[in-house]
Amino acid sequence: MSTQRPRILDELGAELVRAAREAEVAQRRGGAAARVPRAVIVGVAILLLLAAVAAAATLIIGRGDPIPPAPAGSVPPELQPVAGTARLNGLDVPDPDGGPAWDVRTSRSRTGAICTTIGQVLDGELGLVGLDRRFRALPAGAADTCSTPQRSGATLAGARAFRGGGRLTDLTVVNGVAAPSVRRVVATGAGRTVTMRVGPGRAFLAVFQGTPEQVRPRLKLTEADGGSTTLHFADTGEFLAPDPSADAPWALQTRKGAAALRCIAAHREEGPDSPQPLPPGASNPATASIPPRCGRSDEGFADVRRFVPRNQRIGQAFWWGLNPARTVAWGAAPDAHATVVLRGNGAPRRLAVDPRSHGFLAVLDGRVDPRALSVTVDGRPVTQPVGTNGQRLAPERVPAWRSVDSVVKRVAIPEPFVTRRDSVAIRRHADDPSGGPAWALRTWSAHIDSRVGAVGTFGRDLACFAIGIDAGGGRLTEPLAGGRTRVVGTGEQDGYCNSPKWLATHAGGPIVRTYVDDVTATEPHPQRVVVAGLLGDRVRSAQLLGAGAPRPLDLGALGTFLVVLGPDQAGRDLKVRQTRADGSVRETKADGVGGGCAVRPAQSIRIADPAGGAPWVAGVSRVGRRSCRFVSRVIGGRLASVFGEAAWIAYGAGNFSTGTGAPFLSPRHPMLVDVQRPDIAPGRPMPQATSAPAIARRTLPGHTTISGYASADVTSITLRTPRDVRTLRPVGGVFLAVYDGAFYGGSIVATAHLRDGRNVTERIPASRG
Amino acid sequence: MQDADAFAALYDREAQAVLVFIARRTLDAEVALDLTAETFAQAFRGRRSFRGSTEMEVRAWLYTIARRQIARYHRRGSVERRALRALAAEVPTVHQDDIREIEDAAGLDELRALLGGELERLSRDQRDALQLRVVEERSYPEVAEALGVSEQTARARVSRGLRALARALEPRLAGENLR
Repeated sequence: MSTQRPRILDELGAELVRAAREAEVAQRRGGAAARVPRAVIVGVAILLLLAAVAAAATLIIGRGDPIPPAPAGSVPPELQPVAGTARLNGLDVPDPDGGPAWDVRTSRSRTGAICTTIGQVLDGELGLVGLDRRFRALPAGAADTCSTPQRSGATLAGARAFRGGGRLTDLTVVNGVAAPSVRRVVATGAGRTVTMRVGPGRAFLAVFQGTPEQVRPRLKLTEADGGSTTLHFADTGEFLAPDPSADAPWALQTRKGAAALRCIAAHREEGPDSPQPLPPGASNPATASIPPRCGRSDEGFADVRRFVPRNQRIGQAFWWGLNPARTVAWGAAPDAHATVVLRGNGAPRRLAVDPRSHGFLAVLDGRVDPRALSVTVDGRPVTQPVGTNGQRLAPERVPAWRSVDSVVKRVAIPEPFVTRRDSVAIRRHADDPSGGPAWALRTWSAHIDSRVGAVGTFGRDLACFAIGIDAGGGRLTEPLAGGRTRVVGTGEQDGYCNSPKWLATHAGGPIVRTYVDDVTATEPHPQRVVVAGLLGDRVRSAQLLGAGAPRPLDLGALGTFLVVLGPDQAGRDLKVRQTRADGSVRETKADGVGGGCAVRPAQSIRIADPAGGAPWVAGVSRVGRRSCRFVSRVIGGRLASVFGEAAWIAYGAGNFSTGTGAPFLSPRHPMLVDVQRPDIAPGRPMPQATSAPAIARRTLPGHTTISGYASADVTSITLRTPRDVRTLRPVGGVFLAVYDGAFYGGSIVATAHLRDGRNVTERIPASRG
Repeated sequence: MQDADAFAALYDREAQAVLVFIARRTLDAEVALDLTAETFAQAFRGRRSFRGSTEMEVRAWLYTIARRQIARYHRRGSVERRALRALAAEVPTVHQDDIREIEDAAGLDELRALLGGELERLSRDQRDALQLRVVEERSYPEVAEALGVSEQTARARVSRGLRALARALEPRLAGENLR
């Protein structure tokens, strides 16, 4: 037994004494509750209880149609439960929103894996209460995830996020299946500890209110022999210090320095205010970080600096950008038990010391003057730090405090593409052969704002066009997913722009949009194909190829054209052949189509979309000498891409790389792993859920895909992510896993299991890092 | 212990001992911190009903609350946070390093090894009965069925096994209640 007092006791003590003092003050004031007769309090309590019961009864406003199962062929055998093996675990975990209790359905897959499906139980049926407060049954023969049974620890473990909205809150559901040797499973998160019941299928589940990055759940499985396994989900195990905003904290990092030097740096984690959200015209690409400060490992050192927005010089080893001003004290102590005290900002404050690096960090509001602060270690002043090369740091002037707003006002360029209003004109019209409203093409001239830096050899002038349904009066509207529409403007994001100088010497291509009936459906059906372009005024004539016989294009000003084709033309390889003023003939095809990329059943794996949309496929293919590796959606048997809220799709691989060789694999590196993360970072405000599947399943926006290639010696690959653990079998050397939303810190750990019994592990940061 | 200042002094004096006391009976650092927090919160909320005056009486009262928390935790498998909620106090988030510090302070590694060793010393019958009843939390009829004995015999094996374990561990745990 150690006599060292655990430091967390001081933290707990401070909180308890604070609460005790507040309770005492409230009692001295004679708060209302203290004077209310007991009978009245009981009456109020009963009323509150009745109100709670009423809330539970009214949370659900009806039943919706059952959530459909994934399409046949999009669920690999290791994720297909065997009929009759499924059972609920009777965990009966209360729903924080007052809906049906949560449970885990366990089953066994065709390959002997253990599978789980989590949901809420209503009248003995497993389902989910959607954001529209309708309960929908989950498909009976489907599983969320499956994994090979483990002898100790967790066979399956994860933290799944369900988005909130209306009366429903964001939820983090920690769940899994414990190995037979596990005797106790405890989840902690958001300051709460829950000892979970293990059901007859060895499943466990706990529900926390909040997103995973708010809850930072952790799972501890204790074995019969006393050993234990702790799994962190949104918690990287880094040493954290709070930010004055109380949102995303700071994480301490060690850096390499010259021999015998210890170097400490830090960065702020991502969160709702990190990086600082900015108005249009200014961007803040990264969270704030501070530079490494170094010192000898046997002495305490510290630096105290003020960092203000946009005060960075080229070559500095940190990023501050347009994040709010902070005054930061950071350094290291000679040992983990040293007493580090920060003075000069109110009462002296003892700083926690990271037991691994011995570093410490305090982040204060940027208005605090760093010259007034001092740091002592074990009562002695600290030494001045040096840089990573061991050299003394040049003295720096303390920058004056300034707000982000004041800088943004000065530097923002709200509209980098400046439209010439008098140039906006409708140039082409086209009828819809499917009987829908007519379409129109609009052009305008623009130039790049002179405050934007270098623009290349083609200058600042732009010729732009946009397409949409002709709404009359020069207005265009664009159909969106879910039957909504948006008005098409004349900004950079509304259309396609090209440099007239570039078009004078190069051949522009067509854009091809295939509008479908429901872009969120498992199998969207094409309704019409819209083909448009702006070829420039050096083109004399043009033809559309690939849609039956060559079709002459009716060119308008600036070489514009617009054609709407019927659904029978969807998926064709369309090209434009143009004859230019100098007599030359050029052919161009639509952008983004991966040549040589095609679905070959023996060399691709197809899996269902977690949000109920079109299935995903990863694979390799070869046309002639060109090989293609891709991850994409598959619609109508063809590779396709889906774009956020747009109501159209594009045929061709969404994410592909082509080359002439095969992926380089060796016995030491038998797999390649690639993670594609969504644009929506964890912790940032989410767009509203608008599609029916997202509302029904409460899925997060965007997708994270983990794909890769494995050598023939790899029999299976176990993926451990912040969401779950799953074991995949490569098909033709390809593997793929798809998750809704973004991961929120921690790591993705991929372990390849080889025929000779070896395991090779690769670790990748789960968030964008 | 009538006011927050006295409560602060009590916490400062006793917190570590209470944490160790609970940790060695739950073998779980996170649960121990939770139960310690609830024990002190209950002590503060119940301060007006406490009639003792000496330091020893205060300590005995504190450990009575702690034992009650441990028993409740073992019975229900969950940590009660009623007093903490009433005080609007939050238990700080526990990190891996905190767990290590609590486990070191409570000597949990050594205790776990000891417990494993003592279980091995029990007769096979008693060990199996304890395994089913205490570790797997089966009912007595289930224990009886699994062991192929009457319910009365199953109860007797569990009871004898627990007594034997307590006898073996008591010299190690005795004296930790009150310093």
